Amino acid sequence: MPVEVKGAIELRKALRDYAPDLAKKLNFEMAAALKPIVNQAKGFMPSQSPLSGWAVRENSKGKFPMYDPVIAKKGIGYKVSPSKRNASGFRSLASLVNKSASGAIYETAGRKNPGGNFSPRLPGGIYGQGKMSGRALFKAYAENQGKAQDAVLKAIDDAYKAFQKKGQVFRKVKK
Amino acid sequence: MSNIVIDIAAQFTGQKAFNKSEQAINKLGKTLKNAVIGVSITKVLTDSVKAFAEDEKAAANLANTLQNLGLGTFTASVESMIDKIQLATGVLDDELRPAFQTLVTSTGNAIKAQELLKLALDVSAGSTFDLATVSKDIAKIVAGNTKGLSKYSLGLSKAEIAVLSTNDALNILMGTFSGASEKASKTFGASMLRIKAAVEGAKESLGAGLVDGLMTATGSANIEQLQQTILDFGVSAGDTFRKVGTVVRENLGLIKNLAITFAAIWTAGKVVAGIEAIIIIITKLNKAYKYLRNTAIGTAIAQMAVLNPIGALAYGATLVAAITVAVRSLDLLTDKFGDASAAADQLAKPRIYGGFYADKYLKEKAAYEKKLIADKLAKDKAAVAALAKAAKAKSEALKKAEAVFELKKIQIVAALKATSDKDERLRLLAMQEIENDNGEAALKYVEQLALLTKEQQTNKLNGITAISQSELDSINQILLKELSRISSTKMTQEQADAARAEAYRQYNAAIISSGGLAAANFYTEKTQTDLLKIAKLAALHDVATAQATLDILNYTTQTDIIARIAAAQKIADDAKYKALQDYLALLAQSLPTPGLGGGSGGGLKKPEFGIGGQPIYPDGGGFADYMGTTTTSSSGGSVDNSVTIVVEGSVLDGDDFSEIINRTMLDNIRRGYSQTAAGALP
Repeated sequence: MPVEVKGAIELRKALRDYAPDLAKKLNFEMAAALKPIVNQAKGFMPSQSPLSGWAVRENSKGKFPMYDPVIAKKGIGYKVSPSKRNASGFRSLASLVNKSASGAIYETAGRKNPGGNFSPRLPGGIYGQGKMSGRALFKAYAENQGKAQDAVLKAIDDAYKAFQKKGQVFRKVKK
Repeated sequence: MSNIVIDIAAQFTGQKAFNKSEQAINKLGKTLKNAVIGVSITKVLTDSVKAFAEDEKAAANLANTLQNLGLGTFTASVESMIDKIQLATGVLDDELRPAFQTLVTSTGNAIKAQELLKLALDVSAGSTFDLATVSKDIAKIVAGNTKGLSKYSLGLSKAEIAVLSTNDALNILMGTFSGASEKASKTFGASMLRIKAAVEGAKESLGAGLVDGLMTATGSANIEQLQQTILDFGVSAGDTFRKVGTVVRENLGLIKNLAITFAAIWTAGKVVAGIEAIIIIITKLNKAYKYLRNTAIGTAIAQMAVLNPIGALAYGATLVAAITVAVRSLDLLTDKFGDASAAADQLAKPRIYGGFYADKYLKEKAAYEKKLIADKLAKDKAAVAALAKAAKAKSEALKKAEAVFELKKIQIVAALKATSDKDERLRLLAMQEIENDNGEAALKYVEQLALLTKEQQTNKLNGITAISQSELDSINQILLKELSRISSTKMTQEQADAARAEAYRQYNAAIISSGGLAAANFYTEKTQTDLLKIAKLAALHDVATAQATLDILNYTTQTDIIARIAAAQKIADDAKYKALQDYLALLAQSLPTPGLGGGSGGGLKKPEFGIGGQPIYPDGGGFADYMGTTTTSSSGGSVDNSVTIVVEGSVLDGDDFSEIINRTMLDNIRRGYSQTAAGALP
């Protein structure tokens, strides 16, 4: 579950306006914290279609998204810019995403209905619980054991402290 | 599109969620209100008036029909009967009246029609057909047309129905459907219909009461007057809305500014200014609305309340609510921004991030105020400076005017222009400063004059009659400046030549009046350079006076050189003559024999020579020790040191001549010549 941070969006605006170097540094540090998860999640994505019938084939007229390993791996990424407000009134500060349709299917298939003829045949088990469970991104996130989250929070806190320090220097210089 | 996202960290901003919850609460409140009241008052009142109008229309139609049939006396009893049937069966008068009207038209008998209406109600209740259809069928039967009976499933063939009489047909219907209406009225559905009928009746009564109330309230004697009153109200309400529109239009600029200010307020560094601007705008708008509220709107509402208190309730209430909400909102907004302004003044309290923003805004505000003060000061300063400059210019202009029109000053200026004599110029300048009340400057000129006079007297005492160094330097500078000024001005060639001629004329006159030029080396190097410069310029300028100047300068130089050459030649001639005499005297004598040994007791000493052939006189001996006594005695002990130097060729000037003499003498001392040995000359 995401951690609620107060004032982070205002901090980032302030950094952007008054300390672009710190803003850049914050983005860089958050990205550095999230990249390992992304790389690991890409590694969890199968390099070829896990089911022979799910592979991309020519002249297919079906609408069901076929599994293309390149697209599926490419769809996994991170985002360090604040998102739009969701229905609950929250704005995400940093997030991990699995954007491709086939990647999302591989990620979540079998969450609700573990049986059937499709999801049991997929390689790799589902890690996590409820909506925070999956085969690739969620698995990588679970195996990260919150290190990325701590690093992101630490980066924000460090930026806040550095900005405060810079503000004091700024005030002194101005005086 | 998939939505697989893991949020690492998030911030609650909340607005959307709160909006949704507020909407939900509003909806819930509305639902509860409707649930408690049942329906809205407005709807009840509107429906009441509508029901009354329709009922009135139907009743009027029925009464008119009865009147036309000659049954007008039955109108009240028919209405009473219909009301009773309505309450008893739940069938509304809206259905009963048309049915009764059909039947009474068909039969022409009100009592018979009442009986047939009851039959129709039974048939309608016992069959699936509505009262209007059944009434029409019964009316047809009364008229002898029994074909409509076939639809009621009476078990009769078409042939049998066709031969039935009116009474038989009616009897069959009564036998089949009698009591159906009563039984049906006791069912739940019919009970509800009966309640509904009661409510509808109440509505009609309420509507009738409202119309009566309106007529009473407006003092209308009849419906036409009420209509006119309502029309007047419409005009009044229209005026009211026009007034509102006028206020909005008149304040459109303010409203636009408000929107612009709202848009701009959140840009960095403008919060304080934005709040102040908004407060000003809102205050003005609020005044306008309050004025409107207290006058036009208030009047309109009052009129509305008097003229049409109920029928226009929704109309008026909406207006009242809208205006009230608008004014209330503006009041609240003003209060909010008042608070915001107060908060902005106390921004020293840290707001975000340890007061960094707050300090920044305070600094920006302070800087802005400081800039305003600085700008004002600069403007004031510039204004003062401009005034001072104008005053000074005015004063100088006045002085110039005074100088032009004051005769004495004019004379001095003219004299200054006419003279180049330094002594005279200094006197005139001193006089000019005295006229200008500038004592210090006048004293300086007087001091310079004293110095000049002293120099001239000194020169006279020294026998110097030529122009002095300072005088020549002064007139040189004046001439050079004048020539430069003439070259830089845009006068024609003729004018320039005339001006140059005048300048050279004055220069020449000054030199001549001062005794002419002395020898060139009498003056300093700078003065000589200036003279050379003047000579070059004079050579270029094709005017007679310039040529005269050139002649003066050249004459001085030439006479000086000639004098020097003549003096040198005289010296050389004298030296030659002397040397010749000495030589002739020497030829007349025998040459002494130099001694080669000799002791200290007598005889000639052996001469010794140093480096370069210089004779050495040891032990303080002199030249005489080496010479024979005869020679010494014949010459009387003295040596002729005169030197004759013959200069051949052309000599350019005195310096060259001196250089030649010096070099000759030095060579003679160093190396010696045929007449004298090296070092022989003293």
